[in-house]
Amino acid sequence: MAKPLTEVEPGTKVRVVDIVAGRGAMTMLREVGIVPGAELEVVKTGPGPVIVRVGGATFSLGRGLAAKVLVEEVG
Amino acid sequence: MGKTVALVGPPNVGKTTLMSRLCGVKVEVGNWPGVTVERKTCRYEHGNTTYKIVDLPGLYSLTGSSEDQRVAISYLLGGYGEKPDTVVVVGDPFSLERSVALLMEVAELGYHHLVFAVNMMDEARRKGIHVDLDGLEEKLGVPVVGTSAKSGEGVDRLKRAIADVAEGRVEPKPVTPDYPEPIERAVERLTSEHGIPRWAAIRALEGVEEILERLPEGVREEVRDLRRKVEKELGRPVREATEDARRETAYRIVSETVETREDGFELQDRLDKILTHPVYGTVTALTVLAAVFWIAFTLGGFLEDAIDGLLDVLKTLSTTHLHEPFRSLVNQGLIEGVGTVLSLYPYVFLLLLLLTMLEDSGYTARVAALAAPLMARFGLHGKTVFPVAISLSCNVPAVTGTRIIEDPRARLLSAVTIPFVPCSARLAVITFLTAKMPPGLRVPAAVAIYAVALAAFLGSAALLDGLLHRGKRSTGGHVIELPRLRRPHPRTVLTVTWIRSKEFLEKAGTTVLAVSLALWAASKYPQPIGTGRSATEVLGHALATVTGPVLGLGWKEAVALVNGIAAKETVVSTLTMLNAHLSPDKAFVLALVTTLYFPCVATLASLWSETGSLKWPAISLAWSLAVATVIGAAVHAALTLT
Repeated sequence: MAKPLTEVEPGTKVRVVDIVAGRGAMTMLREVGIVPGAELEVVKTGPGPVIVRVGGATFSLGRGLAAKVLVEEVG
Repeated sequence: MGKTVALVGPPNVGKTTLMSRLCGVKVEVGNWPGVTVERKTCRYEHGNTTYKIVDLPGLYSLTGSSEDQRVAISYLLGGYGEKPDTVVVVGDPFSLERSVALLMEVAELGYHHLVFAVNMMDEARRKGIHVDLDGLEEKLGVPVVGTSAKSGEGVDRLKRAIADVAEGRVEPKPVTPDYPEPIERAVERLTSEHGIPRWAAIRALEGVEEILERLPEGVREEVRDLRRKVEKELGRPVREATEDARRETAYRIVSETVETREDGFELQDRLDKILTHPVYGTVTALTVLAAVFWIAFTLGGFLEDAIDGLLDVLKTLSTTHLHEPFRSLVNQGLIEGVGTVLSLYPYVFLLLLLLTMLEDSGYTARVAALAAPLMARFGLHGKTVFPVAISLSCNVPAVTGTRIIEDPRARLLSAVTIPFVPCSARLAVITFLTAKMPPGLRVPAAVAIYAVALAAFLGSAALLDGLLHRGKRSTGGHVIELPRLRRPHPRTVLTVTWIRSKEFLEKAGTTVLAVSLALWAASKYPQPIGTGRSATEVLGHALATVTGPVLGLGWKEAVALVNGIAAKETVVSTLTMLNAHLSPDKAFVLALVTTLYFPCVATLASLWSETGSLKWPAISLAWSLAVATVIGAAVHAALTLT
């Protein structure tokens, strides 16, 4: 079941299923490797900004932006 | 014969430190012609050759259209009149994929003279990460060197690898990613029919302007047709498909060569949860900021006293050994004018040192992430925190530094309003003037001035945002990299602090000196000061007819404000030279007005080049003058009433 990145348990590994965002937001996310198919490690979902790890790099995402990233948990 | 070497890599991989390892501290900082993107260069000797290192802006990829990316692409394509002989792509073992993908992108700009440097090797080893450098070299097809800019490990090997490639003793064959079939077919057609190199064909299909404009008219049309066809077949833009292909290839190579990329993140993750927490994080940030200023002021005070003592000795010497007009020239122009400003340098140095330490430790990025929603309310981006931190030292690079903000609207807002943040010159003025107040009021007064300035910054941003884009608020969406938290590296911190703070010293020797000498002359001729006929008094009394009633400031303060237009520090030198005795109230109003009334000339110039029009510097100037007058007059009125 795909759900927004903001609603995942911290500590889980997820795969990006879809990104429902405008062009600008899409570019920002692509730039750092958050694209459909990419695997992320969710560090923190709140309160405050969402933190994820892509590869070995850590990124902070605004909550609004993070809610547009739909993910599913991976085993 | 000299060789040029470009340094390319994502942000936070230690490029700047690596550069200072290659060349020592002689790093020159300038701007790329025509744009305000910082350009760092340096030189070193190896064998009988001089190598010039050009540091390109930190980038995740070369496909975007940000100013940084355009500068980097244009430079690599020879757009600035030189082309590097060798490109060093720098990566860190924690997220090597990004740099591997970047390496392939650089190769596709026509470079095969490449070296891949895996930096931060010592840190990786400590965290149990093993990088198979030989395997990586084989798979990438370019020389790979493991380095640690921190300890200097591998720097000599890197120099040798650069020399081998630059002089053609080694011919790298960089890896190429596998692109989807439709793209390969189109590339094949362009290469065989038009003789376009493979790399150029790929970039042209992606729609990279810098490549397209180099193609003949007819071919350009054909590329556009091909691109449309390919995108129809793929069902998505070519650029996305090629990006994904590069990323997948990079992931594959890295997963085969980097072992146990396991964690070591538990502590950092736990800290990040606190540091970016709306409550705990905010408390932490305010405490840290207070500590920074407290340390800078306390230690700075001791150092200032020491310098003042030295200046007193010099003054006694000149008074006993020199005759007029040289005595007053040295005493007033040099010691009181330039000397007083120099004695405030310890505050500037310490403040910058501490802020740079925070930046190098990775903490500033956490504050940026935390502040993003707050900043969004004022139409600003979370990343504005970085230029604001720089702004505390100097507004000029801060205006330039707003380039890290991708959203053009948020960026313009930051650039125009950031000059309200008190720079180190104003720190000097605030320190100097609040010292005229009773001891118990000094710190509250300084804090109040900083608070008013910050409010002016945010308030102006919100106002301008409302005027510029009625109702269309920025969403506050941000992506900010949180670099690994680490102990600040002394060498990096000192180098950066020195580069940022030497401006203050240079200005003391140039602008402050010139203004001080002019003031000395204007106070001596046509009649000496005290007769009421010196040029200084004539100007001052004329201005005081306005500043007196409105702000309660006399002729000496008025002259100081005029001189402060050139550089704010000269307010200090002018007051000292004119021997102005300020009441606490006057000192406070003057400090407040000086902080707000005018971005200095250099900042206005920077704003001009940044926004590309005279409109914004003019608005900034008129607006800050208005804000300073209104707030200054209000505070003066309030103080007079009580």
